[in-house]
Amino acid sequence: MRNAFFNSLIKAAKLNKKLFLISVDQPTGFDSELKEGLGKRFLIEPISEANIIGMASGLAANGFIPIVFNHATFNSRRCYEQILLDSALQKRKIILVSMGAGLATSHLGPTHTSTDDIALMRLIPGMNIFNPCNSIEVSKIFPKLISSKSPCYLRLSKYGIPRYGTEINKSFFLNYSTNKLIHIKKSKLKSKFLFISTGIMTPLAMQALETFTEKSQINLFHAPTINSLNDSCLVAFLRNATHLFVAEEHRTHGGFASALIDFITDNHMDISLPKIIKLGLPNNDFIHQYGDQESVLKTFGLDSEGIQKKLKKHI
Amino acid sequence: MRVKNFHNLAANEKLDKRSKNLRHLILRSLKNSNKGHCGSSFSMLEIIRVLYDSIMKFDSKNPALEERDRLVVGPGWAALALYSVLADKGFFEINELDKYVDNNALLGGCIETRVPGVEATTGACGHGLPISVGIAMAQKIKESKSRVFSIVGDGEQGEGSIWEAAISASKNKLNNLCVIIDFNKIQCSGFFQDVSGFNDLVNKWESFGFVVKQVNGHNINDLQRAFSAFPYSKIKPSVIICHTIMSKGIPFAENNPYWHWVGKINDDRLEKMEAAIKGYQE
Repeated sequence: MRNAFFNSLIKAAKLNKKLFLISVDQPTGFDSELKEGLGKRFLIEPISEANIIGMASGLAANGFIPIVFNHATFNSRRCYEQILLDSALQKRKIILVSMGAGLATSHLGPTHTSTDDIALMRLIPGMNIFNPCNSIEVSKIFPKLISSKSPCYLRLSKYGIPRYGTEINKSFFLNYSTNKLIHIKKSKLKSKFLFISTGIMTPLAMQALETFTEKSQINLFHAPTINSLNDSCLVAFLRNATHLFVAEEHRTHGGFASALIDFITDNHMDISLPKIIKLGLPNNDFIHQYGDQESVLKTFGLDSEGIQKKLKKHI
Repeated sequence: MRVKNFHNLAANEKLDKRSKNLRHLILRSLKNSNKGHCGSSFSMLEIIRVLYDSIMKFDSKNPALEERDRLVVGPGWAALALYSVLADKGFFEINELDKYVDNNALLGGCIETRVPGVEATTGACGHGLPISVGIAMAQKIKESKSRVFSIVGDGEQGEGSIWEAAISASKNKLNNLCVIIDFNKIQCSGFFQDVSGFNDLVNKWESFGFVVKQVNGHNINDLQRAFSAFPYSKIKPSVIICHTIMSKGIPFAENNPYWHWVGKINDDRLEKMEAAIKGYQE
């Protein structure tokens, strides 16, 4: 995903002289190409998250489109007040590109495990949160990051780690819009079982459904964003659903499932809330499982086998 | 220069008519609000006055003028110092001062970009200087001659982000950035020496790669000379430590930590403040 982002940026930098990349002492893997494309508009700065967001705000106020590249935990909670006050409050758009989100660096323990970043970003007025499922989607999201008027948070779950689950290939991204859910596995409109996933949980959910005996009863959607859910298609399916499964590589409080509940209760009081089954990470403690991403996902029932078990309980 | 007792110089500094008039504008706002951050508003008033009167390029009818110089006031709670000067310069109607902190007023208790002429919203400590670094960086890349002045409160220097920004400014050779310390030696809960516990500002800023100057922060000529001579280096950012007096102009409030923020400014107290300013040595 990181590579897809930087490839898109290198292409765009040739035409767009406003783009300004700040890496907070994080290797991009493309330093020489970025230097060539962005010139003085590419900085590798000291570890100083608070300063970097303020600096980005100053750049944004003077005509640039600053992109801050950092590890997800440091690009969210470490500089939270700066994002809130220097970017969102002052209407100065910053693009936060957060790598290693979710469990991607679970081997480093709770300091690096980013399972609360969506919850934090959701509380920032105007923040657009993008949670792509793979590198193809990162490239599709890129133009939206540039054209958006308000701050953006791009959540990149993994880097340098093999893809999980079933591939979400190019065909799913035809007529792509970040404002619309992608209908990954189709059942009838009147199906009672609705499954919505985001980020890397989508390929895992798809894999789980492939061998699930009752798969024909389930509609599976992928959500590219957390907070742009006003999709008439979603509302139509919600009206018929008795069970809503929500999967995210994030704690189940404050994240995507919470965003869905808020969306329904704020905008569609006429819809009877379906039974909501959350598939996510625990809320009551820090994660101290040091295994790789795949094994920790399995520990918390977020692999295809774990997802099937949850489905079987309710279908 | 270091052997001068700047604090005593600032304490004995007289105030001319313009400085007194600007202080009366602040009192107009306090009359409406009955509360406010008096101490630092009065301590940094001459700094802001001199910048707008004779140093900075700006157009109050076109606050977004591309080639303007920029001022960021990090201590956003000292809003009345900036707002009184901006009103005086015509960035907005002067009677907005009379509505200060009313529900739906333009002017609130901390500095915000919704007010014409303001470059950065501040009030939470340690935000102004990092933003200033970004603005200075933008001017460098655009090869603009605009200068960036950034006021930092003395107590605000406790924030790590101030020193993060200092490292970045120095590393990126932002010689167009002039940090101004409002060194009034008092912060929210007491004297700077007791709360923050350091006074060697010159060494600190020099070690972070800045050219350091010190000045009496209430002397108009000294301030003009110091700001006019900036930039002091082709490769280094600068810091001008302005020795100021908390609540300058109101003798019974000067150097008194109680006056950092004061509530209950009733008519009687306001009259005493007005009389004190009127009677201050010219």
